[in-house]
Amino acid sequence: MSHGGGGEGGSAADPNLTPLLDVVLQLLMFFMMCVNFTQEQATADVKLPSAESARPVDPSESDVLYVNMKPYYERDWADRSPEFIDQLRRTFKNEGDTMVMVVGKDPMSPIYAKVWLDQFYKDQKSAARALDPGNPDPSVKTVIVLRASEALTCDQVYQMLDMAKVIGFRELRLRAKIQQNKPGGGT
Amino acid sequence: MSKRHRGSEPAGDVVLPITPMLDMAFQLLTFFIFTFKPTTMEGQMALSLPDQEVRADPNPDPTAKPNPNQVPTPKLELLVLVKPHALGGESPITVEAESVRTPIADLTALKAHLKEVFDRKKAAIEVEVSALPDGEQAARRKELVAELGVKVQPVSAVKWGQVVEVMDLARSVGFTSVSFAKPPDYSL
Repeated sequence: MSHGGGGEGGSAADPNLTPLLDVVLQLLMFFMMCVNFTQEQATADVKLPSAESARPVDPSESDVLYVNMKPYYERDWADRSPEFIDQLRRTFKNEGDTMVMVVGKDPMSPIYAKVWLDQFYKDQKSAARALDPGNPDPSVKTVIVLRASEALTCDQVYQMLDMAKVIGFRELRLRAKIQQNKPGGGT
Repeated sequence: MSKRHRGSEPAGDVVLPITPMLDMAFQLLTFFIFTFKPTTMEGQMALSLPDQEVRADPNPDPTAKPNPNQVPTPKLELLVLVKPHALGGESPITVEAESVRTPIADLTALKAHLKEVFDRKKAAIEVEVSALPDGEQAARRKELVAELGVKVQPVSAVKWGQVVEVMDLARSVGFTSVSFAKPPDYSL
């Protein structure tokens, strides 16, 4: 009985690896290109509300300030260092408190966010004045892009919008997930 | 010196060690597969916040130039009051237009109501616009439609997701000037 040449001297297996390599590199390129670099200012863990009428974002729009808002729940930060969690506990006294997040800053309470936004506005105003010295009151072009979690209550969002208005920001954009053919539902 | 003579020897097969490269490629591929998080498509809408307390200028400057970003004050403003079911009972939504209050049971009914109002106003706009020369009609139509405003005023306890749903609905019907008003029981 023959055993399929098992007894013969084994020849070196020479599989053609080129197609495999091609596919692997194609997949690699796909995943690398899909890494989202444009949303770096927007934290992904804000659960946005859905809206059918939301328009795609214009990527050329550059003078924007992303303000992320979500309710504070300690369990969301369980993977962070104990020092950071302590700091959060000092800032946010109750579960569900409004948490304001801006890139490069630790999460802020609305009161601290107001102070920070006010300073940011003044800095922008000074920069605009430096660019246009002839104009005594140049307008601040920065647009506030609000990414508010759907779990917040509307008074929490109103507080932030009102703050931005009082400080002097005039353009506000609201971020939402684009939803196609949303079915109607109850309130 | 001996190395220099290698060039004159018959060329053997060049074997490229692709195994390390394949290893690396698979490592990278695995990393990207595990960290891949398809982002949801985000869109945005312009939002105006009409608040007379903030907007009203006590000493208006008569020489000041108009702000192009300022949303025009709507002539017809529908006020959509939203309450959670626990407070609103059978009709958590109330639409107030020209001093008439209409209780609404759900979003489907709200959409139908807003559409009916919008279509009625749009028909009136078309009549007004048709009297103008052809070249002016489109601009005037746009101007008049922008004057039809919807102001959503939820009570504080309503979730933001529901407010956006109502604002979205008003925009999908055709209203372009949709704003978010101060909750009547606002206390923050």
